[in-house]
Amino acid sequence: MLTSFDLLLIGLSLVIFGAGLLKLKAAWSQGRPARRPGDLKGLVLYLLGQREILENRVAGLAHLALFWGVCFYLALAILAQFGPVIPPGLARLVSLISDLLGVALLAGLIFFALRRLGDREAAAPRGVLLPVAVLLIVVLSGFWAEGARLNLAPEGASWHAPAGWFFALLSPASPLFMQIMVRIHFFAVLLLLALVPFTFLRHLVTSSLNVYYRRQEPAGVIEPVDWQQPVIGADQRRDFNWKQLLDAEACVSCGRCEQSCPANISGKPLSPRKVMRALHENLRGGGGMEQSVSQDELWACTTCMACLEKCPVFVEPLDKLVDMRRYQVLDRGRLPSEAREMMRDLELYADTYGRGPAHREDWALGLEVPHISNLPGEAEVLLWVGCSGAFHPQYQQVARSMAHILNAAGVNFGILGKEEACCGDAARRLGDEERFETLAKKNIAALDKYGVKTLVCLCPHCYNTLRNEYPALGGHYQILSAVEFALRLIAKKRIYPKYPLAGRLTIHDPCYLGRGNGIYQPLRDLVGSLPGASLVELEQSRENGFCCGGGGGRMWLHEKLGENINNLRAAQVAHSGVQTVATACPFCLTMLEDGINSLETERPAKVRDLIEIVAMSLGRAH
Amino acid sequence: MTDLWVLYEHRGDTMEEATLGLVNEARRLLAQRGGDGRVTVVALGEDLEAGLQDLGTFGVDRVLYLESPDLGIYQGELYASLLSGLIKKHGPDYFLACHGPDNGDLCARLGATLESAVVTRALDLAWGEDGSWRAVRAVNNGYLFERLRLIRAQPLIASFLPAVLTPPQTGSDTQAPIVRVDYESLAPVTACELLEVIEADPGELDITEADIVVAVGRGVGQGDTFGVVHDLAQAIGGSLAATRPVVDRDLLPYERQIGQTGKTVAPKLIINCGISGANEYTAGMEKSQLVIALNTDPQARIFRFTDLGVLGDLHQVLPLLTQRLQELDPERG
Ligand SMILES: Cc1cc2nc3c(=O)[nH]c(=O)nc-3n(C[C@H](O)[C@H](O)[C@H](O)COP(=O)(O)OP(=O)(O)OC[C@H]3O[C@@H](n4cnc5c(N)ncnc54)[C@H](O)[C@@H]3O)c2cc1C
Ligand code: SF4
Ligand code: SF4
Repeated sequence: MLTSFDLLLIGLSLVIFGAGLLKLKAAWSQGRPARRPGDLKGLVLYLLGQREILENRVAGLAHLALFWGVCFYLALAILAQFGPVIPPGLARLVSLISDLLGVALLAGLIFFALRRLGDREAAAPRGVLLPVAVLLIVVLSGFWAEGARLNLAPEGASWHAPAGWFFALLSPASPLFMQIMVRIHFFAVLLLLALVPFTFLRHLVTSSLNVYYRRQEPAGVIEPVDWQQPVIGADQRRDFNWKQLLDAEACVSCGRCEQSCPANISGKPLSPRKVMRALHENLRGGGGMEQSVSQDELWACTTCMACLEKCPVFVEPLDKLVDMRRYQVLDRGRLPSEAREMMRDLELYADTYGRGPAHREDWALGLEVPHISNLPGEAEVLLWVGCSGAFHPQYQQVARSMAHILNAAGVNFGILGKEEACCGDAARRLGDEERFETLAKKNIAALDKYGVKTLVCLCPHCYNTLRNEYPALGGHYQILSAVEFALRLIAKKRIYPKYPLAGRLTIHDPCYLGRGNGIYQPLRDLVGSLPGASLVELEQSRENGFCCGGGGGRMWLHEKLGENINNLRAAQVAHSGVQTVATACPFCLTMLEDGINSLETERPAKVRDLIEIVAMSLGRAH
Repeated sequence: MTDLWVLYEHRGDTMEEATLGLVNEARRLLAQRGGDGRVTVVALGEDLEAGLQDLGTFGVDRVLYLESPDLGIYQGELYASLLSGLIKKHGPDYFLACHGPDNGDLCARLGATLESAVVTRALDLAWGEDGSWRAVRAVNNGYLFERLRLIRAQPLIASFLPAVLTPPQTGSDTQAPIVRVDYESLAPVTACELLEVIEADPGELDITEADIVVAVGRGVGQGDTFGVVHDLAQAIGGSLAATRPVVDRDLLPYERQIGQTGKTVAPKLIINCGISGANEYTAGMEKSQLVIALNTDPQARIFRFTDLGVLGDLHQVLPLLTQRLQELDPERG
C-alpha cells in the first residue's frame, strides 16, 4: 500500500510532468495559426496497430514491445491499487503475460540503446539515453523484486514466471533486498514520468498529438501564404505555423525520410530529417533557419513527398522547405539564377517555355480540337493541356494522342487555348507564391467564364494544382487525370484498344499522381486493359516509387551536386530489362529519357507516356 | 530649352542599334515635357565620323564629337572626367546611356562628380503628377524592380537596359551638324594611367558575351576526342559551350552549359557539333542569329533551327573546317 510520502512523490512527479508539458505546448504555440481538425479515430487505430511504425520491421517490433509493455504494466499497477480478487488461474495467466512482456520490453530497450549508441550522427535527438537507462532500471528492478519474492514464497518459481525464475537464481532470498528493489522500481517509474517532457520521451505526447492532427488532404497540397503576416514564408520559428512546430517536436529522428529522399540518396546535402532537427533546435535556441539549412539543401528538394509517405509519425518536412523557399524568394529575392528566366517567362507569357499565348494552340494544328466556346452543346470535359502539352516537342505528341483518344471516343471536349495559363505548380514550389496566385486566378477566371465543370489534365502537376490547390482560391471543378479518363473510356467501351503492345513494359509512378494523390492502380489497370501487355514492376514502385528528379521546379535548376537523380532512376529501369517504360508526366518523360540516354546502353528502353501507348493501341501511329 | 544628351554606342567604327533606341527614348521624354528642346548625341572615341553622318535622319539635332586616340577603349576615370567637364560647360538636362558594364560604371562616376540622380538599369522614366521624374529600375539581377522618385536631377543620368529600347521607325532626311570638341581644352585629370590592355582569349570568354559560340554535344564521343572542337574554337575565335551531358562528364565547366538549366545565349554565330537539339538545349540558343549544325543523323531535331545544316561526322568535318580557317587567318590557331 502507498504511504503518504509515496503519494507526495507521485504528486510531485505529476506536477513536473504537467509543467513540462505546458512548457512544450508553449513552444509550439509560438507558431502562426493553422486549421487542423483532429482525428481521434485515426489516432486510436494508429496506436493500436502501429502499422506505420511497423513499416520498418525490427525497429517497429521493438517499439511495439515497448509500447504495449509499458501500457500493460501501467494498467496492472493502477488495477492493483483497487486490490481486485482474481481467480488463481487468471492470475497465473496474467503473471505469464506480464513476465513475457517484460522480456520483450527488455529486448526492445536494449535494441534502442544499442542503436542510439551506434549512431554517431550529430543530428540524432538528444536525451534518448537517459530515459532508456531509467527504463532499464525500471524493468531490471522489477524482475529482481519478482525474483526475490519467488525465493521467499513457499511455492517457489513455476511455469507462469519463467523470467522471474531466472532472476530468482540471481537474487538472495532476502526480504530487505526485495524491499530495496521494489523502492528502486517505484522511484524509477516516477522519475521516468517526470522526465517525459524533458527528454526524448516527449514523443509519447507530441508524436501522438501529431498523429491526431495529421493532414486530412492529399499529400500533394501546399498551404497558401497568409499575406497578412509580417514575414512571407518562414525563417524564424514564429514564421512557421503551430502544426509545423509541433512536427518538429514530434519528429523522432528515425531517419526513414532521409533513407528514401532522392536528393539525399543522390548525394545532395539535403536531409529532411536534418531539416526537422534544425527546426527543433531553432525552437529552443532561436536564430533563423537560413543559418542551419544551406541554399544547396533548400533547393535540392524535388517535392517528391517520399518523406511524408515514410514518416511513421506524419511529420511533413516538405512544407517547411516550401515555406523557407518562399522566404528566400519573396523576402530576400533569392531565386536561384537558373530559374529566373522561367519565372520571367511566367510573368510575361504565362507559360514555362516563354512562347506566349499566341502559340498555345500550335500543337493542335490540323487536329479537331475546338476551343471550349465553339462546342455544339455542353462540353463533356475540358482538356487541360498544360505548358508541356502545348509547347514541349515530345509532350505535344502526347497532347495529340489525347486529342485522338477523345475524338475516337466521341467525347464532346474543348480546350481553353490561348486563355489557358500555366497552372502555377513550378512557381509555387519554387517559392514564388505571388506568381502562383496570379496564374491561378487568371485560370479560375477563364474556367468560370466558360462555366467549365469537368477537366481532364494531361500533366500530374496541373492535376494536383487544379484539383487540390485551386479550391482555396475559389476554383471548384471536378478534375480527372488523363489516365483515369482513358481508363473510363475503355471501361465504358467507348474506345477499343486492339493493337497489341510489343515487349515488356514497366511503369514509373509520377510523384504527383502516386504519393501526391494516391493514383497507382489506374496506371496498372490501363496497361492491363491493352492487348498484349506484359507488365514488370520496378523494384521501387507505387508508394516506394523513386522520383525522376524533376518536381518542385527542379526541371529548371542545375543539378550540381552528387549524381543526377534521373540517372539513378534510369539505371533502375535498365536493370529491370524492359523494352518500354511508361509514365504519365511530362517531367518524368523528359527526365527518364535524358537519364536513359546518359547510360549509353546498347538497346535503351523507350520512354513513353501511357496516353501515347493507348493511342498507339487504338491504331494511331506516330 | 530642354537639352537631352544621348551617349553614342559603337563597336569599332560602327554604330550600335542601341544608340537609336536611346534617341527614340530621348524623343519620347521630350514629347512628355512639352516637345520644346533638342536631342544631342555625344560621341567619344576614334574614327567614328562615318557612323555619325546619318544621325540626323533619326531625329538627332546635333552631335558633339570628342575624338582622341586615348578614347579607343573605355577608361572610367578618363571618360568621367571628360564628360563631367562637358556637362558642366553645356548644362544638359538629361544624360542617357545604354546599360552595360562600362556605362553602369560611367553613370555612377558622373552621378558622384555632379552630385545628381543616377538610375542604372532603368526600365522606364515618366513625368510624375507631382512634377518630378519617376523611374523604374531592375535590381537583384532583374528579378525585382524598384520605383524611384528623382529629387535632384541636374542633369538626370540614366542608363537604360538594352531590352527596353526600340529604335525609331522611320527616318527623315535632315542632317545633324557634327560639332567637334577640343580634347585638350577639357584637360582631363586622372589619378591612374593605362599601360596595357591584356586581351582575353576568345575561348575563355563568357558564352553569353561571345559573338561566336562553338557548342559541343555528346556526339563528340568519349575519351580524348575534344581536340577537334577546341581547335575549331581557336581558329574561328569562338567561345566553347556545351550541352548538359558534356558538362556532366566534366569535359567543360557548368558555366559553359547552354540550355534550360544553363545559360541562354544569342551570339551572332553558333556552330552546334554533335548536338541532337533537345528542347532543354534549344531553349537556351533559339535566339542566336546564324545557326549552323553538324550531325550524323539527318533526323536530328537541331536541324529545325539551322540556317546551315551539315550532315557528317564531326571528327572528319571539323578538322577540314579548322584547316580552311587557318589558311584564311594564319595568325589564329
Ligand atoms: C530537367 C532537365 C534539364 C536539362 N537542361 C539542359 C540544359 O540546360 N542544357 C542541355 O544541353 N541539356 C539539358 N538537358 C538535357 C537534354 O534533355 C538533352 O538530353 C541534351 O541536351 C542532349 O545533349 P546532346 O545533344 O549533347 O546529346 P544527344 O542527345 O545524345 O545527341 C548527340 C547527337 O550527336 C550526334 N552525333 C553522334 N556522333 C556524331 C559524330 N561523330 N558527328 C556528328 N554528330 C554526331 C547524334 O546523331 C546525336 O544527334 C536537360 C534535361 C533535363 C531533364
Ligand atoms: S519531398 Fe522528396 S526530395 Fe524533398 S525532402 Fe522530402 S523526400 Fe527529399
Ligand atoms: S521526419 Fe519522420 S521519418 Fe523523418 S526522421 Fe523525423 S520522424 Fe523519422
